[in-house]
Amino acid sequence: MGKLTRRQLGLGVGASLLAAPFLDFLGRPARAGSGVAKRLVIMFSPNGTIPAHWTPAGSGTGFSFPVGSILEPLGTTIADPAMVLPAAMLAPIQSDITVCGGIDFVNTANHQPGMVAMLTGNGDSTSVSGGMSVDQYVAAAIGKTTKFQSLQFGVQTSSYGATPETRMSYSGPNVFVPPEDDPVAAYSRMFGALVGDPQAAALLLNEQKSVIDLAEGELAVLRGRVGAAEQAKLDAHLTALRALEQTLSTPTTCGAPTAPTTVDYADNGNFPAVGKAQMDLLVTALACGMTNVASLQWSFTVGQPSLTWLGFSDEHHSLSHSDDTDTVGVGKFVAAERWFAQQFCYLVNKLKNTPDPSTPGSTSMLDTTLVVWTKELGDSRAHVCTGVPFVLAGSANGRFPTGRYVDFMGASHSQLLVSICQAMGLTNTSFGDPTAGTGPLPGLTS
Amino acid sequence: MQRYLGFALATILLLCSAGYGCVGGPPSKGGGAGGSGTPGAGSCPDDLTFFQDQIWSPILTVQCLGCHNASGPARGTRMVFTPASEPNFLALNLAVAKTMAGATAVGASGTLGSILLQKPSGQAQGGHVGGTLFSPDSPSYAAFSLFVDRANGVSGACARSLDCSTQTLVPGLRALRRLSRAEYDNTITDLFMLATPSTFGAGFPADNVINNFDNNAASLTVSPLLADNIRTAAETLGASFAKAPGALLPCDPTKVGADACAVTFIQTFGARAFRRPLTNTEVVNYKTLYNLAANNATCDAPFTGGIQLVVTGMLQSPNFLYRTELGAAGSGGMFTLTPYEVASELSYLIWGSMPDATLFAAAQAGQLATPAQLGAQANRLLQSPKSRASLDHFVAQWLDIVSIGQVPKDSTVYPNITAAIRADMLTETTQSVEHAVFDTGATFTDLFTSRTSYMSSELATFYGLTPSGQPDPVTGLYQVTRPAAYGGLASQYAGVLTQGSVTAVHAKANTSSPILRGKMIREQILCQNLPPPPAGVNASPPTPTPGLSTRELYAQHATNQPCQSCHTLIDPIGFGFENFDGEGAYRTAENADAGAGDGGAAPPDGGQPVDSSATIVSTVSLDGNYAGSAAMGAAFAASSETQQCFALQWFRYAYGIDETAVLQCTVQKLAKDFASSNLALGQLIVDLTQQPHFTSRLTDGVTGNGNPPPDGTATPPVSTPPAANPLQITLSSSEGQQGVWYVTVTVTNVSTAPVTWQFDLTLNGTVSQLINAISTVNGTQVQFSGVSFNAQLQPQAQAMFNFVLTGSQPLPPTQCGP
Repeated sequence: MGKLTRRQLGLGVGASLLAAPFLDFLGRPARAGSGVAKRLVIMFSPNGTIPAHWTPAGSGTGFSFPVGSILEPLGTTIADPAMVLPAAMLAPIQSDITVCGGIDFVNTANHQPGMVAMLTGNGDSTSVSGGMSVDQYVAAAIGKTTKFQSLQFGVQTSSYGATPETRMSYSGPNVFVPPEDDPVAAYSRMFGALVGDPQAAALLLNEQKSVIDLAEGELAVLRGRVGAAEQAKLDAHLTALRALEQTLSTPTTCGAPTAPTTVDYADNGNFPAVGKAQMDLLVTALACGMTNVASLQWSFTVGQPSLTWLGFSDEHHSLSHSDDTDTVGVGKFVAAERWFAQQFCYLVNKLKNTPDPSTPGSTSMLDTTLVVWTKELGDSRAHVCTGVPFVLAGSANGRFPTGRYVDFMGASHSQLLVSICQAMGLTNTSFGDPTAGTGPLPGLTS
Repeated sequence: MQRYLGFALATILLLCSAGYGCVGGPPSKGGGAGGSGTPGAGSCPDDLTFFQDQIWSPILTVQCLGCHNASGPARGTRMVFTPASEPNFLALNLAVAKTMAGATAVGASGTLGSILLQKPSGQAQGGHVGGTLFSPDSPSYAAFSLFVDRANGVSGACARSLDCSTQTLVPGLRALRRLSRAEYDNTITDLFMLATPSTFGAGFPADNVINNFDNNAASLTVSPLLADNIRTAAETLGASFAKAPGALLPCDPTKVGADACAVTFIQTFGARAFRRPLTNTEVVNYKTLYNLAANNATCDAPFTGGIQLVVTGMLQSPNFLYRTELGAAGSGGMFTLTPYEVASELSYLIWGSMPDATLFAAAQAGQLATPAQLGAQANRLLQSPKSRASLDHFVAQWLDIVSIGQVPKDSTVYPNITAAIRADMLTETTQSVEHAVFDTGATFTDLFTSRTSYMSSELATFYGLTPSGQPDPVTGLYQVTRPAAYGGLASQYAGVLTQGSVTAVHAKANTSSPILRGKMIREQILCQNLPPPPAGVNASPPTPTPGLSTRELYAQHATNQPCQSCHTLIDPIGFGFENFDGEGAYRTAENADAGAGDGGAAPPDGGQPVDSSATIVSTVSLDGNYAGSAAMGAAFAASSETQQCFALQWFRYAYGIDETAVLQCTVQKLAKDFASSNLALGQLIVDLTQQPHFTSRLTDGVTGNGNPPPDGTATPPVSTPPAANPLQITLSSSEGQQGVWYVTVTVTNVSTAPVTWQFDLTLNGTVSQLINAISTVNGTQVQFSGVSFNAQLQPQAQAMFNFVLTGSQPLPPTQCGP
């Protein structure tokens, strides 16, 4: 029997029954709708979309991407205009994805509220999710044994500092989890601590843990001297130190790959190169088992990257406000969004072509990874959060039938957040503000 | 926000007696607050003026009118306002607002109150489509609250004033302030006396930015990524320090013994790292850390390894990473900041870094208490060159030009705005403010009106200007005065507001932007927060038509609803800046053939002459038409509104907090003092140290008195022996945990013959863990003599031994020898 590819396995219930002898080999469950993914990857790109140019033609498994549309690069190999991504990693992924239309953020509109609601569902301390973003909520549940509970990679997210417009991950109400914008620093954090001599490494670890213990003790002393608001700050610090201890105590099992080239990671011209370096590191981190929850944030809402490699210098947010009558502006915005679709295509292809280290004989991590491409707005010109475009990749170990476009007819994105949690093996039935909707997204698993 | 809702009772009483609207306060007189929705019967003689100055102009027109007008998204609600273009608009709007003041409902928290208060502050049952515009503890809420009381005829409301600058000022709350990235780098540089400044902090994740400032205390926390970055920096700094400690090592371990020197180092370095003396418990803890590393070094280089870990540990300690502003508990829920806390406040305000030795000494001597003492120190700190970098950091954030290096510019339209020019632009602006602070006679007015600034010769060329004279010997910059006129037309230059840094950042990649410039003026110079465009409205800018002027391109904003109600606040200000193109160069015509950067000297080839006429609305005293940015700049300089906004910006930067209704009184006082000191900028900075908030704080709701836990006793129970020829005996001791003393004794043979030494010490306590000597106890006398290798001392030779005296937890000794 030749190598089973993802495409062969995705042919429907009949085919999977025929492939039954191989299910144990790949560790996949027999029934659709009950699979659990091992890894969660979230990719964000900014400034909403223009629905007419995003929405696929057709529906269900019989959909297609109109020529020139934003998602067309997911269905056809299109060479990267920035000449950074290799064509081999831009192979079509149409059968691996679920394109989700008609998903709304309830009672939310505009750039900043959209960015806040996107991954948190507007939860607060009284919610099941406690005001965390879905990646952090999942990481808190499944990430306690990996070197990093989660890893956040960024591309030019921080020229305006950390604000609700420039951050998407939250470990609690108003507490940001920042991305690392410098690929060299990200690499160093992942691989920089390798100490050759095991005894020296053990001594160093002992010292590091002693320092952490001492800092935790001092935090406890300070905590006893302040009221609730300041205690919350110190508690966040304590949580950070516990995560740091987990990081230091968990060895890296992979050898270090080649380090990324040092570039000015804040230079607009390096946007594509930095993005690729971050995507490569993200996949490496997953493949090395360093973490099972990772995210990639391109710019930020209202962000103004200038996609000069597409032949124009107009800034992205400005282009997102092109009226339908401004065909030139709309054309540039669509070109920009197609380029982001290519980045997503590359990320999915990388996962698809990297074996899952914990499954012998596996050729693809994508089978057991749920990838979510999210945005913070629907129609950018109207600043609404209705019809916010989502594209999922990966079946979550057979849970989601893929290769479909589904219009969810105004379903609450809170339900999608619940579905994401459940696809990762969690059992919560509510995420974020429960008045915005509870339970999983109907129609996603069938 | 939560902390302000938990005011201590004393504070609530104080606020109520000071005349602020109290949620759930005294019941109204007259027809208003019974839940019936009938209009309030209250009226005051100055109703119209109060409404216009406190409610309509500064708040309603800026944050509400955009939606609450006859054609806006809120046109179907009960609150629809009439625009200023209509006759009698003020009286009509006053009536609408009064009706809303009297309309009550049960809020989200279950309390009955006016919906005029509930809706904009996020407290309405069912929320508010327009979102939360201001918090319940904000000055805007306090203004609305007083309006509601006046409208509802609350007794005494007419006499209450929002001007609290002459009332007893109330400080803010106790707080912890994490070092920002910039403060971290400055502190490291000073702590280690680095020749090359630290850049570790610049690689940390970006700080939260609140009101454009990166040092807001409430928002700065430690994330896992930051904790990891702090660790890496600490380990690197510890290692490089240990290799070459230099003058930061106050003793010689080979002379006084490694353990003793380690303890001394912990105490002296630690006092600077933690910006206060260490407690005895802390000394024990860091000695334990020292011992761990010294032992791990398998006694090859125990001292070096030990102090390396001490430094690495201290740089990760919350005592290093946070500045405390907690104080000691006094009466009535008031806390007095400790002298060391005040020292840090002073140094971080003016230097963005740790105190120097003089400031530490003043703290130790208790000389940082009176306004005069604080003012003297503030002036001393301002003299230092270190104050300039901190001032520059304020300026870059105040004018929102931090991103000057990254803001995208189209290189085909603007080929000359290179990275070097951008950096020079930032320098030009920070230099302008530095001159205004440090040069005699220069004031706030100069910032917006002076045509003289300081720049590199390359920047002068970029602007098409000619430097005069020689460059400054220190900065290398040329003094340049811009012309009073360009092509026969009066210059629209308005000081820093129209320097390249500001006009290039607040512009698009390939053209100017009246919206970005208008927004910057509103938010940074007038301190008015604009709400975002309402959702559902097509927020697309005009399709660029070649040949149209910017003003023509944005004409839709002036005529179409719903754009007009908000954009009338923004665009007409921004149009005043149209003489400055998207890269900050001066122009007298738009769409001219000549490239930008000719400084407007060449006649425009085609295109339209710039029409820089501007209009300001929705202020208390600045409304009107202006010929352009120059006239606006002059008006801003003279206006108490902009002066108070500037004071507010310094308040935010200095104290790391936002303004609440209570603290607004401090802001008003600062503004009044600023005006009466002829707008001297240095004086405003010093005045920040003169306010109650600088030396005292209210409770943050701590349980108990918030004091540090008890520490050990002060006097060592060891008597110093008299000189005993042929022996000279010296002792050093440090106290560990309660009643535990770690003692090092050095015995020197000061005679000219060998000596087998032996002597007595009078000790209160039990000797244990004796190293390098033997002892015999006789009551309170303990006799010490040497062991095999040090029992006999040659002339001038020394022996050293250690022991622990008494206590339940002795200081752990190192296992290595001396």
